[in-house]
Amino acid sequence: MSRRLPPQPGEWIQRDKAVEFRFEGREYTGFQGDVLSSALWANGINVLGRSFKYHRPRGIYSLAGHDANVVVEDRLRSNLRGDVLPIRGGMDLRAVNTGGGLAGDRYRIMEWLSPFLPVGFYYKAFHTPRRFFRFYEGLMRRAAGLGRIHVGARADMSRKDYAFCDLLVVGAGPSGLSAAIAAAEMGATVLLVDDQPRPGGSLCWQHLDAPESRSDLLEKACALPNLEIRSNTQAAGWYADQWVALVDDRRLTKLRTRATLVASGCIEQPAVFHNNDLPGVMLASAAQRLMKLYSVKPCDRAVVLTANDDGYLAALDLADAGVVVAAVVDLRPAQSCTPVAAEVAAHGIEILKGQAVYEAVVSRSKNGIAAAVVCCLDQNGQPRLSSARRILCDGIAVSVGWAPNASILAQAGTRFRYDSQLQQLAPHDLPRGVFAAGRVNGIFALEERIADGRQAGLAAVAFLGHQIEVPASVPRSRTAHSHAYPIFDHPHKKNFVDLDEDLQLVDLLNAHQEGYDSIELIKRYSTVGMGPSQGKLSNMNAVRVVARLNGQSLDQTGMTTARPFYQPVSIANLAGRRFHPYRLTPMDGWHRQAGAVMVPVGTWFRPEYYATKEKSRADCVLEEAREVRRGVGLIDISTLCKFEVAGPDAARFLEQIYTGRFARQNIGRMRYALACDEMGYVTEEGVVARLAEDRFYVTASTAGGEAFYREMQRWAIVFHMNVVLSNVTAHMAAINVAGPRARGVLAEIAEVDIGATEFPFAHVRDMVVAGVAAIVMRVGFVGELSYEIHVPADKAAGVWDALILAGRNSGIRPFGTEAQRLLRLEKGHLIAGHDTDPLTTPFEAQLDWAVDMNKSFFIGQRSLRIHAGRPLERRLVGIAFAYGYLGELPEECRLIVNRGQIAGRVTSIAGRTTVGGPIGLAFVRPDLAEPGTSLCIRVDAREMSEAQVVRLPFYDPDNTRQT
Amino acid sequence: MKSISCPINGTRPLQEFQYGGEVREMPDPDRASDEIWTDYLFNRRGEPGVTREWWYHQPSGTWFIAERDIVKDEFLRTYLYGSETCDE
Amino acid sequence: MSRTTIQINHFGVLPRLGLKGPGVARWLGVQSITTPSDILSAVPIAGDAWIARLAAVEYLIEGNTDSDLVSDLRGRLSPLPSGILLIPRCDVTFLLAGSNARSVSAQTCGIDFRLAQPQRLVFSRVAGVSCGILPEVTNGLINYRMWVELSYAAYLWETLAGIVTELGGMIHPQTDTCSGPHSLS
Repeated sequence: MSRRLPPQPGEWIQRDKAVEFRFEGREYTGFQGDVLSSALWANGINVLGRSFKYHRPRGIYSLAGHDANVVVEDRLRSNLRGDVLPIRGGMDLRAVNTGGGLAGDRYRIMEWLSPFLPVGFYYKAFHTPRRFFRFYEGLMRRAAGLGRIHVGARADMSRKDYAFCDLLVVGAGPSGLSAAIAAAEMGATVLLVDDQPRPGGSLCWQHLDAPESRSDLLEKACALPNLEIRSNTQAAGWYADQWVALVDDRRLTKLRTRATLVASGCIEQPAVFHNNDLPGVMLASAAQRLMKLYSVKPCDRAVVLTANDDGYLAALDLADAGVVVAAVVDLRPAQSCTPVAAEVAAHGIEILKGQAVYEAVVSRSKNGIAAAVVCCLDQNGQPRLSSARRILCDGIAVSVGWAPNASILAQAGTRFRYDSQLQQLAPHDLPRGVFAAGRVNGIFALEERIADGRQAGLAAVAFLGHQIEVPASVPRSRTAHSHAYPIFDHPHKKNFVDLDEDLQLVDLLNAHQEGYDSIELIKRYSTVGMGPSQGKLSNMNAVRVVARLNGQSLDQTGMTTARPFYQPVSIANLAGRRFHPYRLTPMDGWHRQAGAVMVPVGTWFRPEYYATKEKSRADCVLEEAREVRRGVGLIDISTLCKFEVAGPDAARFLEQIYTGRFARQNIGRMRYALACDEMGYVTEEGVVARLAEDRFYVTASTAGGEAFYREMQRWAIVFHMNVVLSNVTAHMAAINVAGPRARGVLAEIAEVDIGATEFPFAHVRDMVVAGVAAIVMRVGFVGELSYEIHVPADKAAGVWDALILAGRNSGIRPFGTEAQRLLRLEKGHLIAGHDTDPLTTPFEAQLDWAVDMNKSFFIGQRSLRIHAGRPLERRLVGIAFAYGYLGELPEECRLIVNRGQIAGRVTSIAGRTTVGGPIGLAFVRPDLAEPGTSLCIRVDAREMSEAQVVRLPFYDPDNTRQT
Repeated sequence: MKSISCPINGTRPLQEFQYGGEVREMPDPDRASDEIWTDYLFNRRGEPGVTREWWYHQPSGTWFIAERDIVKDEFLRTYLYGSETCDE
Repeated sequence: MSRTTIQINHFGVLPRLGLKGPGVARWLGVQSITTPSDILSAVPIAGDAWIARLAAVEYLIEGNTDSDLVSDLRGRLSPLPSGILLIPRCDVTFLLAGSNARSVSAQTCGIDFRLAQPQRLVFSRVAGVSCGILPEVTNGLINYRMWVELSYAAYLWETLAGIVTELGGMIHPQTDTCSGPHSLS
């Protein structure tokens, strides 16, 4: 049975392009331009989906993207809405949320169980006993009513764009088009978006005979080069400072606009009566869309339930399409009579004033309706059952009111007030730079909507700073387009308020009776408005119900909060292209070629160790470390943060930043530098090298240096210091050559004498190394004779190669971060942030020697004075396990236990070392800090290990090796 | 996403900036009692109204001060530290 | 160069000279180099190079691989005159060109390049990385000169070249002989 109508003017389907697709395993044919719902309806299919809870049959309701029960999936995508899903050849779709298919859905039994599933059932039933949670979870997930996620599906890369405009207009209906044209004519760059496939809004299906037609407006719009129209694009969310998310089928656009004009129209609202959800009952606007856009007959014999002129217009459209209109049932009392009603009467259509549809009678097939039960309304607006009358029909078109499509306006902070003339909400207080026009603004007559659009467009342009005259605003419509209470309770029967979640009127009444009397609480308890359409068809009626139950006005009752997104957005769109910046040192290529195992260190990649065939990681690391101890090794330390501090106040500045003294530091010398925060806790450490009277070169850690530099910049401002700070981390690369043979290697390529007397420990020299101007420092981090060579980053790879070449006869080999960590541990050097935590004082870390409390000021000094007056809570000590210790070693961060009490924790540990047995660093209670003290360290839940506190360093206590 | 106007680089999206906390006057460390000093360290005003805050524009490395109405989350004006008197 | 598409060039580390200090402007004047009057503006100078003013007393000169300007100037700075600091500047230079160049920035950078003025420096983030961007007009088209710290260059090149390729543009990776169109006409 085909419901396809003969060609209609302006239809969206292309009759010469038939599209074959499958739904629930059966073949169907539609036309290009059809959505799934229209194509199926054209094929005579009534049941397009099953409802969420009771698995009742559902058909077309809004045909505007809010039909949350007509949700389908294919093999890749899930939760596609049938009423907006364009059909394509070869599609193979099935409905979600069925037990074994749409037709024979075995979960229909839920309908019979419904008396046992009152509102809040899930909250009440599934919280005990706890051990059943797993079982409940499986149950709930199956019953959640949504599709499956196809984990094997290929991730589509969808791009994310930034875009900019002066004015965003949301909605390309008559008011939106007119607003965009008016603004663009004044020279503003305008972006007009609409979620429908074609611009025009209601002009496409409601006002085809309008005086200023869709084509006139579109012609004007297209002639303006500074007006861009994007169809199939939803304004999904409005964020601070006019930042709007636009979503189309390919991408997410992050739009920064200077002003937003919302002309998003209204969403037609359902009436509540018994069986108001069955296929065949639909909004009048859905029936009109079906006829005008897709040329599909909604039904054969219709009853129109209305409370405004729009319903009468729909009745005329239905009659034009060959539908027998059995009656127009008008909720309004008898006295009102409009020209359009007269026209309907002239068609011989019965008009029943002051009456309501009380019930839709279910058809014998249970998949549709057979009749409407119509009653007169008493003076309270409730049906008088004695007057009930059956009118045979297979369709009920409902036009009892509209709600502003307020999502974007509300997200932007617009307050709405109930307009009692319109009997609906209208914007009351628009935020700066946000404008509303057309039906969303409470203006209904077509010419007035176009005028309102123009007015708002010009007001937006004036806001943007154009000197123009803005016409007076268009007054709101005076006649009600909505009914104040289109809700008719059929006791003990199902009257649906929210089709998404199968919420019945009785559920709201019960929730209210249980004490949930605020709209936000009722929403959460009953889940009204929490379904996929987010209450676009239910919130208004729910508010009307709650207001009446509370005896409050609608303004007092309020609205629930509108949040992004307007419609569901696919996760691929949100993810977009992923940016994961990483940093490489100039020697990165060399490392990888040499077999380095690279590890991420912050955003950098560094060699952890250089893998050698058939050797374990531990063997490789130990061998690299041994080579440094007995020969020479080199390590790429370019990731260290490096700063230049220059200017007349440089020394004074460093004295305030760091805990030590620098004012009398000699040129050519370097010093250890420790920094604390204002609370006196260790934040950074590094070295300060004095290159000139007013110029210092400073290093800081890879991990914390960038943040430390920011703080240095800020303190320089606060202290009013005449210093110039430069972060040269990426501009200077650095190489550490270390080991007894280091001097010989460097001497080959250094163009100055670097003998022990010419260039002693803790000195810094400007010199040319391998033809490159370098800053070279004699440091002692790994405890051997060692040179840090800092060179411009673009020259570093050459210097590295030169060192490898110069060291060939000395057996030079590169070492990675693991060997470096072992070597420094043996030398007893802590790593700030690794061996310290954010609450470690220098005193606890045994760094008292680096702190000069007698200086006039440094950051943290005032707090350290307080700390100094208190007993220490812990100390960082060296720990050693017996030589030949064979047990399992505790990992870093394992606890030290003393008489059943926590007495500290391990901060660093190394199993295989160049100094004998396993060693580590640990925080311990001060009474356990004496060398020789035995410590019990937890290895795991069962096992403990034993180590002794030893004096630091483990290696070369007399510093004979590094000088 | 909010836009912030850097006094040097102009208006940019929030993602280019880092928040640096309230602007606070350090009490004289030599004179302040422990109570005053710890109050400076640990307590923040945070009361509704206009606060002065540090912000950092990362790509250019610029610290500046923003006056922000934290009730409306609105930036009222921005300027370089110490230049508020010459501003406007 | 195609006027209708996009291309991106990788110039590697060009010769650059970063100078900071109260004595810089005068010293540059003595070298017959006129400094830009506005902060964050750049002007072309003789020797196929340009000079940018990064802050009140901070300047940056970027030369070309073919020209000795930067090394000449560097030579004249030894010993360093008072009031001048040499700032190490080891950035990589890319040039994004073509009429469709903005579709690359649309995917990677949150600022409105329609408003960017030629020869005005923009410090922003591109694909999550801090960059300096200098729009310059060549043959009536706006090209974008971008610099990024050497450490991020591999990442940023991979990302931008990927996007340019996706958009059907041309990529010119770094070559040893690479010397790009350098005019700021």
